Amino acid sequence: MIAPELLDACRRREPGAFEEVVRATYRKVYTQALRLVGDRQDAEDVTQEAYLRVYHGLAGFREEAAFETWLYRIVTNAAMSFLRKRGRFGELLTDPEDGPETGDPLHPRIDQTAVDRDALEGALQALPASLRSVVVLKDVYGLSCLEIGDHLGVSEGAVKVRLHRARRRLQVLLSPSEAAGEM
Amino acid sequence: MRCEQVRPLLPELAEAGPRAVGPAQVHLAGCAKCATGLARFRDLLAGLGSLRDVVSEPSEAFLGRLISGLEAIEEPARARRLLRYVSNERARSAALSLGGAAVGATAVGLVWWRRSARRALPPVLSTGSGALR
Repeated sequence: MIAPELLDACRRREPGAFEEVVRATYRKVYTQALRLVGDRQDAEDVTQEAYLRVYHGLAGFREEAAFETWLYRIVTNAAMSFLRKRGRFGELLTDPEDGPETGDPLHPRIDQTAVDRDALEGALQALPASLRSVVVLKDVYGLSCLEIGDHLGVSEGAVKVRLHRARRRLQVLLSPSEAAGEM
Repeated sequence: MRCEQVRPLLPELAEAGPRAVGPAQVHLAGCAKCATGLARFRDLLAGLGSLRDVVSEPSEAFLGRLISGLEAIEEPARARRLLRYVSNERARSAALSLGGAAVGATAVGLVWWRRSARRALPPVLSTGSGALR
């Protein structure tokens, strides 16, 4: 949580104020970037770009929305721009068919029955980018389907379809035997 | 509703929030298998939500690089602020100088005017006092 006084100090460009904000938030920002772009070096680049945008955008930031939520949106935008520049945005737009939810050699299953955090992180990274981005933004960071659609340049309906597929696929990755019983 | 109809709805039904009781909920109340499936999706969503506060550590040198990069963008901003301050200072000095000059000129003008006025007094008054003597 960033104190409003610190944000005011940043707006006044007081020395050290912005650095304090960065120190308090950079791990979360980096983690979000990593979840979206899937590569550590790329996530560092996205983090740097995101803070650049925050620095220039602080003057226009209204505190009706929490700073953290605003920050998450900026990181999302920076990540999408990054993927676009790298020619990987197509991965996000490609709408994979529900496809082989079992035995897919490209997406290994995680043989674990309990839903723990490491298993979840692993399962997220095993999803195709188009599904991962949607489920990360909706279920981890709480963006609405409409917002996600705006970020990705797809309709709200398309986001809902992907979200549904992503959740089902995660369930299969996390506990294949139980999920298979339900299919 | 039957199990085959309810199962595809489970990922969405697992989302929190108030829901009207519909045919799916009626089925879930009487079907242990679908209810378990729903509970698992709820666990999944709760797990995903909890990831928000879980952080990954970037490389050790990253924070240093990040701060240096930001200092580089802050420097020109500081230079601009300083320039603005200096410009303001110059404007202030110029205004003060002009004001001072105006006050000085007025004072000199007043002195000059008073001397001129004394010199211009009618001669009768000066000779008049001598006549009285």
